[in-house]
Amino acid sequence: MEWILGGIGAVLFLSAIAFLTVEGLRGDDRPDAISFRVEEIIPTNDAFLVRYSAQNSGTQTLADLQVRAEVFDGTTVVDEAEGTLDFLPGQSQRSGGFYLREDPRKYRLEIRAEGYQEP
Amino acid sequence: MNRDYATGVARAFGGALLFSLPILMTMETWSLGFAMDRFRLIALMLALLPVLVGLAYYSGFEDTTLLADAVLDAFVAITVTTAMAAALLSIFGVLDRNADANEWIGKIAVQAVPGSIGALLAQSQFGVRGEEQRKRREGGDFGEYFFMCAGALFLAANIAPTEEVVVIAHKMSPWQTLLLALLSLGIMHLFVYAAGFRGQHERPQDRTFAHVFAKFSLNGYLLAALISVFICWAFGRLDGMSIEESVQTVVVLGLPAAIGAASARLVL
Repeated sequence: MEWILGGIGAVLFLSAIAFLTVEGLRGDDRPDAISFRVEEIIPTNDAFLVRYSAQNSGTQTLADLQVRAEVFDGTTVVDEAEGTLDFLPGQSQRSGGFYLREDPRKYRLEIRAEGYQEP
Repeated sequence: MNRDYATGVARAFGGALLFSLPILMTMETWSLGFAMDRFRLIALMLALLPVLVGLAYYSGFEDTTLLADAVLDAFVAITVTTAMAAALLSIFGVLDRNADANEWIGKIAVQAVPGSIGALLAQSQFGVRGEEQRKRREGGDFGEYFFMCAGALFLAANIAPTEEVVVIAHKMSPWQTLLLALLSLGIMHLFVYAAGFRGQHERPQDRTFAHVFAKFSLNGYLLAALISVFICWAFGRLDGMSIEESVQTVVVLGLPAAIGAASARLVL
């Protein structure tokens, strides 16, 4: 029994070290583009809720990521909303939502990242 | 499977849970898990291993006699802690399904430091006394210093992830920093020799106060400060900081490290 538990521990420990070494050797973490995808749009009582997911294609973890949604009618901004993602780790995905007054389905919706902190 | 061993493992789970709960439920430790430098995390894990083996050797959750058994026990402690941390973090919803392996491994590995120490301490905390008491005495000076390092590592690793360490360092003036360092040193000495806790050490008759103070308390504080530097570095707390601020941060973290070191001499 102790050999099984001890063996699992040794495997866990060594594989974690190996994995982290490989990760570490990939070089310094680099920030890169963030791609947004609108997951769904839910009409609520007084707003249109836009649920989005953000995919970090860089390897750098982004902290306090400022996210902005703008609704365009042609080139005119008819509505906008801001949000923050606490953490968006490298190569990872996080989700959030915006409450917009205008129905984004009738116009063009743009979501983009504005700034972040290196943790 | 033998019943005593199962009891020992159950006790290890309890110890891991008790000792890692404060950082399991601290937000900064989750983000450190994926944000901290990979090689520093490896350094932390590698530093942990000899500490675990030593703890298992002196006071593990089984009656350990051989070094090989101690190594085995150390890995059992890692298994127990990993299982405990993975289970609780999943229940907390902290292990995100969308996250990559890097994030999961990092989050769990950070918890392994206090948890696995706790798993091994469970014996000396809740277990039967006697055997390990005798063993510790045989440890001699090296044993004393080793326990101080383990205690310092444990408490420093518990507190270092929080933002407050740096915030306190910012708030303190140089004089307050000096005072804190002296206070840590004084508390350390009182803890072991004067506070009357169980396991209190008596100053040997043939040794002067200055001798004992220099040998254990002063050296102990030095060790605690070194552990504090290591932990601060590992968690990236000193990156981009001026020398003055770094010293202040190390002194702030030196308080828990010193108390951890002193109390380890009593409880372990």
